Amino acid sequence: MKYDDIIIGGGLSGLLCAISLAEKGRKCLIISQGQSTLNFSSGSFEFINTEEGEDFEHAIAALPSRHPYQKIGVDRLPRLRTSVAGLLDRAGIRTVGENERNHLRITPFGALKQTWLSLAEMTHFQKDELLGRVLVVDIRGFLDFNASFIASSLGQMGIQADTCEVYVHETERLRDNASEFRSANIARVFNGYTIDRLACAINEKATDVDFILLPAVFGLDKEEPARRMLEKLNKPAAFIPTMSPSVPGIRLQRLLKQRFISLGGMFLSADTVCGGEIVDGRLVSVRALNHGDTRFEAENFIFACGSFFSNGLKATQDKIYEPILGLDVDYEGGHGEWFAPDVYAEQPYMSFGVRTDKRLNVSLDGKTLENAYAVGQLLSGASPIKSGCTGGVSAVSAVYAADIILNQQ
Amino acid sequence: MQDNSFQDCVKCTLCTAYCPMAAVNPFYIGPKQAGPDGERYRLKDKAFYDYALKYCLNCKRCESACPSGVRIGDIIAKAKLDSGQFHPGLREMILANTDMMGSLAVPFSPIINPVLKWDLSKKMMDGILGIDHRRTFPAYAGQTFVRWYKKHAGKAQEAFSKQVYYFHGCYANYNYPKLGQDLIKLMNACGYGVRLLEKEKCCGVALISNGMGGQAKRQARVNLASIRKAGTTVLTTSTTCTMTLRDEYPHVLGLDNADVRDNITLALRFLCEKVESGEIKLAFKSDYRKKVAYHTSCHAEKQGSWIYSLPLLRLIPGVQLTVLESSCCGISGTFGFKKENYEYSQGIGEKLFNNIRLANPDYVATECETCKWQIEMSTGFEVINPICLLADALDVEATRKLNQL
Ligand SMILES: Cc1cc2nc3c(=O)[nH]c(=O)nc-3n(C[C@H](O)[C@H](O)[C@H](O)COP(=O)(O)OP(=O)(O)OC[C@H]3O[C@@H](n4cnc5c(N)ncnc54)[C@H](O)[C@@H]3O)c2cc1C
Ligand code: SF4
Ligand code: SF4
Repeated sequence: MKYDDIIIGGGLSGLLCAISLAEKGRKCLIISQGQSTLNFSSGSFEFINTEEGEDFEHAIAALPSRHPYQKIGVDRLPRLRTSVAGLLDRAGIRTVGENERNHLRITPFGALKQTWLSLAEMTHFQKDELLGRVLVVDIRGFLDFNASFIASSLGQMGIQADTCEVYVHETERLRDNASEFRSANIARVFNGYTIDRLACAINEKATDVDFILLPAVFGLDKEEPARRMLEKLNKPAAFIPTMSPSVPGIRLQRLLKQRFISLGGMFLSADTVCGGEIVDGRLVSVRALNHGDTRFEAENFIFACGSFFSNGLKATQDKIYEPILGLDVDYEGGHGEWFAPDVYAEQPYMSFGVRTDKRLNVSLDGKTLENAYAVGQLLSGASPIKSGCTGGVSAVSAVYAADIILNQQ
Repeated sequence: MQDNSFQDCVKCTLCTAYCPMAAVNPFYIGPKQAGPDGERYRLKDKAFYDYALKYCLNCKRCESACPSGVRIGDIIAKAKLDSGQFHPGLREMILANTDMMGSLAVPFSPIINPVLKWDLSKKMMDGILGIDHRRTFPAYAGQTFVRWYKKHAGKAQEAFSKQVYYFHGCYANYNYPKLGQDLIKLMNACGYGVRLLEKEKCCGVALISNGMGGQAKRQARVNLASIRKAGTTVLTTSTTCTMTLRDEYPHVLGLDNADVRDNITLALRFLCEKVESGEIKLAFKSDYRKKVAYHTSCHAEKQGSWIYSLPLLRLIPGVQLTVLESSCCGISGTFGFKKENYEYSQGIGEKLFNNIRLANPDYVATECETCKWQIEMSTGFEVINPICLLADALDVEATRKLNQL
């Protein structure tokens, strides 16, 4: 089977790369073995942590040369960020955020976090925009969102926050199956008049507050229910992510996939790429588990397989490897040095990944594969927790690889 | 055989978020609990959660979603068979024994088909058997495919230098022989003779889902022996039979088929690959015009077989193709026929039905026969297997010429 480009992995990076290519008329196939980490997304993408008032470029300048941003080239990043925002927009995903600096969002623990782009319905504000008096809304019986915890965290920051609990009979019914009273199940019943009744219940309790915070359990398939909820409330309001699965994340995954398919792209889910054929320094085809000896051929291959969680990287006691072809991987030390004892500290293994050159070309036994690229969390050199660069690395590396491929044509 | 993939579960609950049954049925505990979580408990007590397992559609959409490669659907199917709690009643026997019912019904099809449509008989089946009266039963053919083949086609196949086998399945045999006939028309035009297996039994998918593991295994052994004897490509036209033969035999019934698994392949895949490599050429009628909406059945999604169907359909110049968003139609073989499941079944399919109405096609194309019954009954749109569509649009003479026949 022949394609122009084959993308391995259908998460944020695989989809953005594939959409960029498909928008220019290329015939693309994505092969993805399962759902991606987008399904756990907070509904916001981080780019890099900055000092107060600082813009991205300053913080990026301080990154080591092995970091993907440095490889791509600091000068290119502003344009790539603009491209990403455009891609999301054309997929029907409304976002807010400036191209040069962070805004703040509220985490499920009530902390403030810097971030680059947020879905329009999520919390987003600048440091000096105080929320005033806040009401955090809980849904009765829903354990994946802790309003009191959030309220007390906000309280510690000097924001006056109260909580209230609401329910509608549809959510009460879901409680019969308490262990599956989860965000996605709730989102399925929050449609149309159910939302209006819920909004009524909240409005009654939100008489003397300035802002309402709600769990992000609205709009699994499309944004409309989230927007409707905000419209029906009497006060300004926004959503805070819940524990996973993430409703905005599932929607992101779906909308990006739909956009890709609407451009004529093929998305092969539930399959694992398990090997490939290299001829004269080029990857000419890959194989997938469900398709036996079928060869999937393409001009270019993009590895967007994610990190350990998504099985893009694997570890044994003595080595870390890339399971499809055994591509060269950057990692240091022995098993004992891969983890830091403090689980909340930056973990060395998080910066391990597939080795690439500045054009994001991968290599095998030191030899560059000139038509194979790595993008996203699979790349080595990022330090996701310390620098807060996960979503940004995935997004800009994906668009950058697509640019390189398109420029060759 | 213990499936140990449950140990890879990272408890992310994505499987449950993507399960079509959990979406409409708040009483279904969902794949995570029924599958990997339950499996831990079942190590102690085989009957754990068994009351909930009957809701599973075996659609495998949970497996497609799982980031950790847990074979959730297989775990549930096996647990169902192993629990020993599923005692198939008369209804299950009737619904699951597609082979036996088909052989009994075909000779009497002129009588049985109208009777199955009567309100009175539908009410009786509902009251006595628990088969929902709102269901439409697929009609039985006047003559089985196998009989037709022996009378009209078998001999002619010997003339071809290239030969393949065909696993026709119950639907082509008892309900819709045209599917098999169309396959032969296509293959013959491309220079391939089509043979039948020495012995073919129902693949057993309905036996598995209705708790009749013993009989399923016996039938599977017969099929595997015939497929081994054939020693070459065995084509199929149903995604579900294909998945059962290739994947459920080893994963659920514990029968090793590694030596022949790759010989079993959907005819669409075989054709698509041969067309791409240039070994086969197809020519189509210039006046064939149809608006087609392609529906990815659950088992086409799981096996990824749609990637062969779409390029073939796109080859037909007069076909205007829409690809519907992949979602479950809700019938799941015999599941939707049961009275207690009717509402869930229709609830699951609603999204797909709406998308079909929006597309407003001449045909919905899909490789799954039970999707066909469900979609035709629920939307009124005609459903066609891509093989039949290709055969209808084929210019036989031009194709023969292109293939130097
Ligand atoms: C729990 C969690 C929450 C997160 N929240 C956020 C957040 O709020 N904001 C943010 O910016 N970032 C977040 N991240 C980081 C996130 O990983 C990145 O932002 C980004 O989404 C990663 O995208 P990716 O495409 O590089 O990789 P992934 O999302 O990991 O996708 C990789 C895909 O490749 C597939 N794959 C792997 N191997 C193969 C193979 N052999 N064959 C076929 N397919 C294969 C996988 O199945 C997977 O679908 C979070 C990560 C996790 C784990
Ligand atoms: S999707 Fe897979 S890993 Fe996640 S809970 Fe379900 S079985 Fe476990
Ligand atoms: S096979 Fe289908 S119905 Fe059964 S648990 Fe998985 S997703 Fe749900």
